Amino acid sequence: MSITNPTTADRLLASLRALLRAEDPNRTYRGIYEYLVGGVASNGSTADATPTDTSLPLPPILRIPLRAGITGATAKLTVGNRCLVAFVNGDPTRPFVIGADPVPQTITEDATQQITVGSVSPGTVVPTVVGAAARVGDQVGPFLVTKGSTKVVIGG
Amino acid sequence: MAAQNANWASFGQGRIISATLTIPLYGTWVADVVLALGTSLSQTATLILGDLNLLGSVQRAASFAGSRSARLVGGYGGWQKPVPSRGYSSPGAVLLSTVLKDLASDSGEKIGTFTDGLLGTFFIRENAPAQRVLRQLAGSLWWVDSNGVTQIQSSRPSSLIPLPFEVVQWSGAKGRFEIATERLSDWMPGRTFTAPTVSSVQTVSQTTITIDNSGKARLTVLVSP
Repeated sequence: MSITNPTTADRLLASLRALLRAEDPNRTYRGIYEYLVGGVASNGSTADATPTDTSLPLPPILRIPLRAGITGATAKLTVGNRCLVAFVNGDPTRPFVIGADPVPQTITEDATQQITVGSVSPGTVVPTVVGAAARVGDQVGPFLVTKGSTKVVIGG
Repeated sequence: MAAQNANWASFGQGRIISATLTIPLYGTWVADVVLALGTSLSQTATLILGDLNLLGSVQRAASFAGSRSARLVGGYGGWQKPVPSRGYSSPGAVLLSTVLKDLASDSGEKIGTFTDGLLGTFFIRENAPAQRVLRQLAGSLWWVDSNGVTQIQSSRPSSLIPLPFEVVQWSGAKGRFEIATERLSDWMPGRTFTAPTVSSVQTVSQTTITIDNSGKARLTVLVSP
């Protein structure tokens, strides 16, 4: 930060900031930052992303691994997603994508009653569920069942 | 061929009339000097105090009433400069040497030999003063040597300072010694000393050399507890 006419208070604050930084040099890496996905690995496990705010002190990052945060859950990013990047334990060597904007999905059912979520193939496959039916307006997991030309039946 | 500088205290070709030099255990040394003439200084030159020669750079300077005062720092003054953000990634591992060499190049400093290591599959360098990135990579264990080269080592040379020198004063409460010596260059942080009037071997943690307008030079050291 450039100070053209530093007052005594400015100099004291600058000294205080320097002391705080000396005490915690990794302070920048303790935040959560919004990035824009520019590329995704073919298996969806990593993403290339750029900070959405160009004033941030962080660079574009290639091949950032994803952590969905829910045991057993997987997720895929698409180009144009906004995602959240954090650093494990404030460590500049350990960046991860920890979240992303939800992208509108479609649900399709195939002949084997496998439900595929997502308009981009391959999407996330939800295993067949038996013993219940979803009605229009029901919430099935994270998905809202809406009226349309395709009836989605979960179970028999 | 440049004329030999016969001044006992000088920076470049400028004679120093007063100075305070502080050499810490880690980090860069700093000197506030007043020179006899108001002429401009070379950005980087050798600070000479007796037998002590230190390569340093001007951080701030001004002329007033026919003399020039300046703050000098060890090395090339680059560790204060902001470096742009940069991302490193490698499926194998990012080498410490790769990141440090880029950091030195971007800041205009020189780094000595060090033990290389693996940082991990990433290193995300933030837009920050270069010394902050250096601290992230090397911890607090770095210093600028007399040649202006930044050393990254686990400790400083700790050899015993040879006699003759005289302990003028010892403040046990402050852990501070005032030393009379002809060899200022011996009294670098990390080195050890003992004397007939000192009960145990002491380790220098900070050296301060003060020169006043009368030409009197005083050396004080702080010791590790």
